[in-house]
Amino acid sequence: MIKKIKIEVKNLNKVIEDKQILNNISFTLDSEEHLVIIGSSGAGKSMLVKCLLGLEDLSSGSIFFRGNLISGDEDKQSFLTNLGVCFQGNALFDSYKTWENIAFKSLYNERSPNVLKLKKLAIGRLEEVGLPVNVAEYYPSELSGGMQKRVGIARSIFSEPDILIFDEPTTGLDPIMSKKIISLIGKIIKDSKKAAITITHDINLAMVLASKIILIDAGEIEWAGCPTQALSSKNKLLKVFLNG
Amino acid sequence: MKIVFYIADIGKTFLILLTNVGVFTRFLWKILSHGFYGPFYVKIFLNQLITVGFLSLPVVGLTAIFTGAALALQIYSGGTRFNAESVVPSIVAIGICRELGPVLCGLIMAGRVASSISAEIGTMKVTEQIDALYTLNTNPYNFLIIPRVLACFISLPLLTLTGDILGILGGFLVGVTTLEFNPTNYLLNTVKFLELADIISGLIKAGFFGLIIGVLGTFHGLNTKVGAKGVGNATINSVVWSSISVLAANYILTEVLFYK
Repeated sequence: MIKKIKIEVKNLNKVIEDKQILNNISFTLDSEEHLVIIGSSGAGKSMLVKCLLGLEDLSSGSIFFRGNLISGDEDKQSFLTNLGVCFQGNALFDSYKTWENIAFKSLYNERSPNVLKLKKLAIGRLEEVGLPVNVAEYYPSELSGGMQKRVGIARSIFSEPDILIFDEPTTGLDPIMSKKIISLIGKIIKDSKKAAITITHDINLAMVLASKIILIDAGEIEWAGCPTQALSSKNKLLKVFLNG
Repeated sequence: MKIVFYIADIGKTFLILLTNVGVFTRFLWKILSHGFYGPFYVKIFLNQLITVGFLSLPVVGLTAIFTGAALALQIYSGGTRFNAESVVPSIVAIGICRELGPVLCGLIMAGRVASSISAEIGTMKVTEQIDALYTLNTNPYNFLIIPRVLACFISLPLLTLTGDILGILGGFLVGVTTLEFNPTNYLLNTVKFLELADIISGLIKAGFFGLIIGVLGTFHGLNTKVGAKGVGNATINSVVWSSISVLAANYILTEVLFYK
């Protein structure tokens, strides 16, 4: 089967006040591929996500979506329509109920949204991520960290986007909840056959979920390969990550 | 050698000032352009009208009543010095409608609304909720900024009008109970000397104050720096700058509207 390239990042550079945050980053994401970007704190992972999402302007370089360069606002909008993002801190809207958070994209962007239908769909997504139906009526502040993370995941998959992005999905969770979230993400990607990018410093997550791993250090790609190659790699930093 | 450092400091301060002017101008331009192209979130706007306008009625009303009452006492006490006690009703009405109504309403709203808007948007900024809005294809300018600015612009004149009525009522109550004015004469004197232009000019001022409060509240919220301290600073800045801007705008508008 010929794999179509979903995202291509070419020579991405980000400079803030003379400081090189990202240096010549290039990679591709094919359909049904799960790219995991790992790196220690301050390596530039979060900035890379922000650049990808268009939240930060690039200093130089380019990002292509389905072969088309993302440049103007319209391209950005079309790209974002095809993205589902789960943020590190969940970024749930605290003045909206859980189901409204999940269905937000449709609820506030469709011309005349069918609220009942959207609520039903949102409850369906809640069940998909393993949360009880009654959570739909709760506000985010009434949920535990693990539940909020699941709601964040439910929101990212609500509109069945082409590409899923998970930013530090296990940060701040206990080991048991982390394992549950890792297996939930794995199941979602496997079932939906979507392309996905996960940003993490958790090598276990990368080894379990990734089809391709990129290791970033000081804003540069230090190593790239698949999980099996990672095990036999002689890269010192990667070894530190693998051996703990 | 010291002078070089002084010049460098002046240059640095000037650059920061220019940057801030640029950021603010860009913010205003985005409000205009996004406001023009839409979408317009009617439900959010109506919610904001209630939060900004309706829920501010008690504080604006109480302030207006007490100010009107105190103003009546002051004018009476000053007026007795040159046997001009009878001017109390007209001076209270004109003073409230032209100056005190819009300015007090503007200052109260700068404290109540600008602070709450900047704290709310600032918290959303530091908890990545604004980023989430972008990724959910929802522009924060259309969803958060424009409904709030518009709600302030519409609410302030309405609140000021209510404040004018209640302020005059405060003066009336003190006039007839403490200062022993005849109620009918008090009301007749109020209406006789109060012109429509006095009321309209106050409402025009209030509209400008509403814009200032809405724009500065949202601007400081959206430019919040990291963490709880950042939210606190944004809130302080929004209240301080809104209050100062309301007072400065009041002087400029008074000169434009009344000075002949």
